[in-house]
Amino acid sequence: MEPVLHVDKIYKNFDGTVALDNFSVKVQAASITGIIGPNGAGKTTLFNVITGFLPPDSGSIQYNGQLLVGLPPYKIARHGIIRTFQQLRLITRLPVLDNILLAFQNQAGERLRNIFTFSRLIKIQEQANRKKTQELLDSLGIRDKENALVEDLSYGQQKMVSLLCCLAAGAKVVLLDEPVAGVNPEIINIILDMIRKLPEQGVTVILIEHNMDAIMRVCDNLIFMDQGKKIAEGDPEMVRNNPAVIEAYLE
Amino acid sequence: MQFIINGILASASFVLAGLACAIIIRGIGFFNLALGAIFTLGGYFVFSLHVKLLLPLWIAVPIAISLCAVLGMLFEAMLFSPLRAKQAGPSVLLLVSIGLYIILYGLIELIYGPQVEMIVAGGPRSSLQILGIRITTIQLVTWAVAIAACVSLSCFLKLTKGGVALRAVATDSELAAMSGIELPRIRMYASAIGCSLAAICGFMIGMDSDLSPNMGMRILFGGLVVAIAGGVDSVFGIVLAAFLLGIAQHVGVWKIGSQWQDTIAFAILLIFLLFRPQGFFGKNFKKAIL
Amino acid sequence: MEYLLHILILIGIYILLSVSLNLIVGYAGLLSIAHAAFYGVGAYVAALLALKLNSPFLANIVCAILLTGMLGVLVGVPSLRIKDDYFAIATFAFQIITFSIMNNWVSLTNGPMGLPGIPTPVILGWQVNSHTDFLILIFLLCFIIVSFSLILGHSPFGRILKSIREDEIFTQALGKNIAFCKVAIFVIGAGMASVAGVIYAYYISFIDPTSFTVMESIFIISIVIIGGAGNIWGSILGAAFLVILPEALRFLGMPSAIAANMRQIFYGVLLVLCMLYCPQGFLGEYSFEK
Ligand SMILES: Nc1ncnc2c1ncn2[C@@H]1O[C@H](COP(=O)(O)OP(=O)(O)OP(=O)(O)O)[C@@H](O)[C@H]1O
Ligand SMILES: [Mg+2]
Repeated sequence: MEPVLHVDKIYKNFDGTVALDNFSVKVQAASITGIIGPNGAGKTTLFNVITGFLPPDSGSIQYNGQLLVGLPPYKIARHGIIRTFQQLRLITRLPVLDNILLAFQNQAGERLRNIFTFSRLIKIQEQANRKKTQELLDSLGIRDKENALVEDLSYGQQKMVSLLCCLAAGAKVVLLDEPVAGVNPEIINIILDMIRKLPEQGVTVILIEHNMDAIMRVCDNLIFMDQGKKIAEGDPEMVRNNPAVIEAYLE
Repeated sequence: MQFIINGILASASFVLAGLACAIIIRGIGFFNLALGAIFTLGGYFVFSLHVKLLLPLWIAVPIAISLCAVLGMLFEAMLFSPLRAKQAGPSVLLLVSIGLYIILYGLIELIYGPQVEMIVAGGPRSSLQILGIRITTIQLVTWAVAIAACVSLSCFLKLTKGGVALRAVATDSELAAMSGIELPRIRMYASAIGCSLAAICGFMIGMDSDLSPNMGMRILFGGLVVAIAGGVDSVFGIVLAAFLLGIAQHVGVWKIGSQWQDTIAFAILLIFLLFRPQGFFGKNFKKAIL
Repeated sequence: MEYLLHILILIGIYILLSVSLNLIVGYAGLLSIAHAAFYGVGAYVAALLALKLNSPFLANIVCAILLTGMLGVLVGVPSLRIKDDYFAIATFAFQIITFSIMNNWVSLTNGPMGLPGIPTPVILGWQVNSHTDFLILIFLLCFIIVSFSLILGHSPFGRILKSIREDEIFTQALGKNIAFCKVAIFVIGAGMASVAGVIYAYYISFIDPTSFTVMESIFIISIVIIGGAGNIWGSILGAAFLVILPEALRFLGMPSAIAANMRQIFYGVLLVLCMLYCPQGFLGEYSFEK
């Protein structure tokens, strides 16, 4: 089967530190791929390269057969590849509602032409998006936080909001950088349940996590990387029992 | 050719202004436009002490320099440092320094009046002929001072502990802080050194021409251009940038007229800001965003 | 009575200027010290068209908006490459260059002598003559521009602007073309500022470069900051406050020789105190924190 996302022989180094070394991966549609690896393995760098925030030194990335390398981040996002950040990024000084509303794509009110002509479309769409936002918040049980400032939320709730931003943006591929790290078990369950349901909606998930238990619960496919190289890939159970992985995670 | 030589001869004050600006911008981490008023004050303090209080120059000048250095440190300690503690970004500090400039400018004009003042009463300026090039005594002295400033600053930056720390802060203040350098103290040093240099520069320009309340802004313009184009990593870069500005302005005067000097300086500034904000030789100091 | 109307008209002009600058500084978070340049270009375009071509008011205002808008692109584009105080300095350079062109391109702008004798505007048969007429005109324009700014600020586009101000990377990751948005808001802000310039030119019927200096830019930015960045109503309040207060000082009977300086010092102190103790201004929601 054709992969949705095809990362092919990517190299990336920073002043001599090799962050990605001949890294390739084919991600199947509507699957959940986990990426594990020690600190500094290059996991986040992989996300940065896929989403266009960093240019690779060489190699190519294809999304449904379309070349992504060289496109600015916003164009890649418009293809439906939406990410979260390890160092959480949200507009902390604005309410949750505004953060999620921002995420919707193709809003009529983002186009100046519509604003200049006082188009009624803006209001109609805005109301529809508000409703969708409330449904999304409901699905994670944080509807009551709608008007709270993001900075007043707990860390776990902030991670939920950033996941919801991806969904509001209509992501076809979501890249989650440590979606449950530093979050209490209760919220971990909620987030993982949400992730688990995404493939049914046709969404492909790639997630980075150090939490092995979480990885085993959701992933269909697991990649172990170290020093920018892919060391092992395949069935999560199998990869976990790989000697290199055991060694890295025992330390 | 004559324009190029004249441009180089006239660029000694740019060297001084550029050094002052570079130390301030990179040492305390933002564009401190209040420095403009310090240039002016350097000149006016000497004027007060020498012309009004009749102190000899060799006493008046050091006092003026110290006063400016103290002023710089006061601003740092009483304004910028508390603001940083409140998470103020460089834009806020820039705005505050603008406010400070306006206040000082207003005070200077209030006290000294808007008219032009002279430190040395006018008259024919003496000049000498070296290798067929005419150079005024003031230009010569300014060059001597500029070279002395370059040499002593280089030595300070390379040889002393404080200087090395200052360079580390100029390159990457966060990294420097993590490696145990006391940022507040280094910023005080930078303020003192930068403002002393500014005072010297203002005084030299006051000797060469005259004093007016808005002279500092003009000097600051030149200094900013030189500091950006030269980068702070190298005193040599500053000198080169000062030459570039001096020559560009003199050639500009010849080709299109003297009134376009500011335009030329700022066009150079814009070009550097856009295409090479780290200056001629500087390493790219733009931080990684991710 | 005339005097009161005059003050109200001035407030109107500064409302136009500060509201438009607020879109750039308060919403998009781009610190620009070039607003007086847009203001001035608008004034000069209208004045020159009215004087040389005798063209009607409405045509001139449209031309001024379009031309100034194009200049807005020129200032906006650097914001894609340089940030924070470096960007502020780039806009500062643009301001100086624009002033210098107004002052020195004598064949076009008549230089420091200015352009006298701008005729009174006729709008669809309405001869705008008296102070009252001008007040009505400026009120109408303020109404249009303020409502438009409010609509823009609360639209999804305004939301993108705010998120650019807070976190450009996050905004890009959600598929927003931040480059376009930044340049667009500069074009819009510049266009609005030019409207203020046009009105000013017709109202005073004489313009010269001294009305469009760096100081003027700083004054406008002070209104935005003190009124509150990111809040349109704050700018309106700030404009009224900063225009009226010095007039009140005048009634204290200060000799006019020092009044101008005192006014400047007063603005400076206000700006510094505001940043120190109330960085959000009266009504603002943004204070350039790190
Ligand atoms: N923008 C950057 N500039 C310079 N070096 C970088 C940059 N980003 C990452 N690196 C380096 O590249 C290597 C890989 O970093 P990366 O952040 O991808 O690791 P990671 O696998 O995400 O680690 P962690 O589990 O700690 O998040 C590290 O050595 C890091 O120091
Ligand atoms: Mg990482």
